[in-house]
Amino acid sequence: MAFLEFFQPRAGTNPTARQLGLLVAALAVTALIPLFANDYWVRLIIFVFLNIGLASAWNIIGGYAGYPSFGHGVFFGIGAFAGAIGIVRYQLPLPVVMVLGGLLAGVVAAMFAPIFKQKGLYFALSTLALMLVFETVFQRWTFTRGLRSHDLGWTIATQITLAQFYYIFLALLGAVVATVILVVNSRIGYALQAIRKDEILAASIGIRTIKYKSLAFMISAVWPGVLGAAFAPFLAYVSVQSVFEVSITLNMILITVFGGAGTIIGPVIGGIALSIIDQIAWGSFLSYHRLIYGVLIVAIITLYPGGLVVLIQSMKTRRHARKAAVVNASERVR
Amino acid sequence: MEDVVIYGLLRGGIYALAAFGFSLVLGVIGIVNFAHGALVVFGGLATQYLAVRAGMPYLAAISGGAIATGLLAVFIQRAFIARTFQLEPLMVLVQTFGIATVITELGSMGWGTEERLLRLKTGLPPGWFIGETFVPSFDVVIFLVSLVSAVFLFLVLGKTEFGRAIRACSDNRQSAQLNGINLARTFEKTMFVSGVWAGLAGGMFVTLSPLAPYMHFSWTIDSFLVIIIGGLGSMVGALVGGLLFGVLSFGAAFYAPTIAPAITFGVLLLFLVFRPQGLLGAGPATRK
Amino acid sequence: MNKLLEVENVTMIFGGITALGGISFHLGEGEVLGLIGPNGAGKTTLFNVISGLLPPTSGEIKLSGSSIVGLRPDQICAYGAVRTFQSASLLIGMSVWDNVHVASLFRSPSRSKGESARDCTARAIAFCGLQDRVDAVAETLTTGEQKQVEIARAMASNPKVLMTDEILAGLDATDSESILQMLLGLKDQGVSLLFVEHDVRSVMRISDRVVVIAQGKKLAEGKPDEVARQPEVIEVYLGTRYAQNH
Repeated sequence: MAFLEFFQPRAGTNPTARQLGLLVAALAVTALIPLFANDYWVRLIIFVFLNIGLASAWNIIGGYAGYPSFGHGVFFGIGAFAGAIGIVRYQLPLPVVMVLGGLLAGVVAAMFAPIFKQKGLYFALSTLALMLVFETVFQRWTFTRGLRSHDLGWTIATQITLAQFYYIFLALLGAVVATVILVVNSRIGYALQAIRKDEILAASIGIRTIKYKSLAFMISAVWPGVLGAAFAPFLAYVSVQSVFEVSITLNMILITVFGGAGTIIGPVIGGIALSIIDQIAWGSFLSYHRLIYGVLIVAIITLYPGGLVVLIQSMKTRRHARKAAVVNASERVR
Repeated sequence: MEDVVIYGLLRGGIYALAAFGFSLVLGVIGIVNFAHGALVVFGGLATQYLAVRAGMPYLAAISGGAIATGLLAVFIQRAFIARTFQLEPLMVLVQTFGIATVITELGSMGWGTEERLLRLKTGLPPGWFIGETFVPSFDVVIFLVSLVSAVFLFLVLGKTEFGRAIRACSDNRQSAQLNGINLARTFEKTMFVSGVWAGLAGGMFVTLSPLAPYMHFSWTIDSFLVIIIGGLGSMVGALVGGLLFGVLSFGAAFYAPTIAPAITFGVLLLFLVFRPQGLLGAGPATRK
Repeated sequence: MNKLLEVENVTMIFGGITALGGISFHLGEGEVLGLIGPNGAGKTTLFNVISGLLPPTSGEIKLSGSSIVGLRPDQICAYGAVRTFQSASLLIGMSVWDNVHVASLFRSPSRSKGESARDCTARAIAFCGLQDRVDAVAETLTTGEQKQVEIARAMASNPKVLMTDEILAGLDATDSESILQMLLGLKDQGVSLLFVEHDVRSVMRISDRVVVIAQGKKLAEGKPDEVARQPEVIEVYLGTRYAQNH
């Protein structure tokens, strides 16, 4: 499967065109779904798009750069609030608040540059601290809390139809994955991979590690901001409880790691697989939801830190080895 | 004002107790154990369970709780962390994140999600007056325990074989191995110590304030904050950091209760940016 | 001869231990300077100080006359001082091409001479004779091949000074010889070489001058034969056998 070769760019070839082509094809196919699926499924798939999009963005800083961000949901939250406040209080159109959400998230991420001088674990907890700060502020500050002074959230009315939301999120997902493809195959991508594998070596061969880590973080923050802003009218009610949930960040991490951190297809496979597991678990195991997720994270990292992608790869090589063995055996018989 | 400082210092002792182990694990093995808070809560709830359900006297209950927590920590190290740490150290952060979730969920299922408090009759006088402030006796006990712990751990780190092994591992893992130090065993013993002190902190805290599984995260964050302030790898630093943090959070809760969390996390961010080595820690070390 | 790299009175104290106690020497342009010393002498510490991984407690280090103390490793690389690493330092999971190409992509523009990154990588790989192995993933290479990739990668950064940290460690005679030839080839191209090594014989063979350090202090400096004859050096490091055979 050509898709699985995303993460092995070969000497002298540039896979960008091929990967973007595959992406467009996949988007085109997926665009047909609303034509024969009912509202329940369309709504469900929108959530899958959102999850994959968020995870892909997280993948840039957590998977490729190797700096897991534990408060990444803060950017989604900032975007959602930008969307809510922009639409309800200022009557701004959706495209404008989406840009606003992305910009705000990017600016907040840019302020993190000094923290990148330190080790990865300081970064991880700083992002967590950041999320908790914003959560508190959004909850107490009357400007952000709600339209009227006693409100605890934002209620958003919208004319956008379900089908339109479907295409909006599909397009956004396409944009995020396209960004990942472009970044990974560029100079930035090389820098990030070197930084992740051996940061000291990376610095010694001339890579300005702080600059590239900051860049990666900003890019990975902008998209959740945009997605958050788009999500605000879709969810129709934005409050700290609904958009600053820890499980949003947890999902980003789990989907990426489960599917395969540091690969393009990883978050996609992970998102689809986990949504399926989620659907199955929903009916029978609702109360064990978080437990199952926790167990999955631990299991995958302990047994297959490379995620589903590595699992599939090893099945492929085992199948080839078996085929080769069969051929050898049959030749010997002759 | 004076009472805020005094109460802050006293409560700070508990934060220090929780932070000692966190600092050791971070300084030695080099991982942020996101499940640390879960260990604190586990220790506290286990102590409460032993005291109330099994009817054990407090000292026995807290010892049992602390040791159980230590063993749990060793299990986590051996079964999970050890495997992943060699491959991708930063993935261990995510792994312990998951472990924390699992412990919390299982704890919620086993113990229920409501908060539990352990009422204690110590036989000590209710408290004393320091200046104008009334100080409950058990708070003083906790403070003394944390002081003694700091001294004890400081001596262990400096004078014992185990302490030497720990310091060798944190300076340079490869040469430590070449000098015959068994890394796996050292890591496990470190996790044990970390778990015991986390359990101790929880076991003492549950007598002051209710504990519930969902609180694990804030304990992890608080421990991290303490060692950011006090300095990584230093037991005295953890003590100082704990006391300062106690005063800070008490003060914030007292003077600006609505945005208290934002203040504490804001301070954390400031330290991370301007003085990541904390007050007493060594500078950021090179990775190789 | 111009002094390319100057180390002046560098001291490094950590945890109460004086790893380096005031070391001074210089590397001239176009020169091969060998740095030898017994285990624990402080070679690697000195290396890490020069390449910017550790700030010295005191002292000065200059590259082409400008101080490089306190600069980040990537800045030092941009100024032309490139280093190799002692133990496995290739990027795992990436091919030979990619390992070298990263360095090409981030080489200092002022020394690229208008060459594209692709060409730079190709040139470095050709120099080390690795054309057949471009697609091989780092983990599948032999130790000798890995060292070759290290040199190719260092070349891709267009160094003025190449500093090698025990690059011959773990190599057999044939592989050692190829690496030594490559280093001499680099010297022909005008790269100066700071050759930190444990294998005394190789150092004596290709070095123009040698510096001997022991216990953080410089013990001797000069041409290989001169240094080999000095009694302190013989005593601490080379052994009486070597001295007797020369």
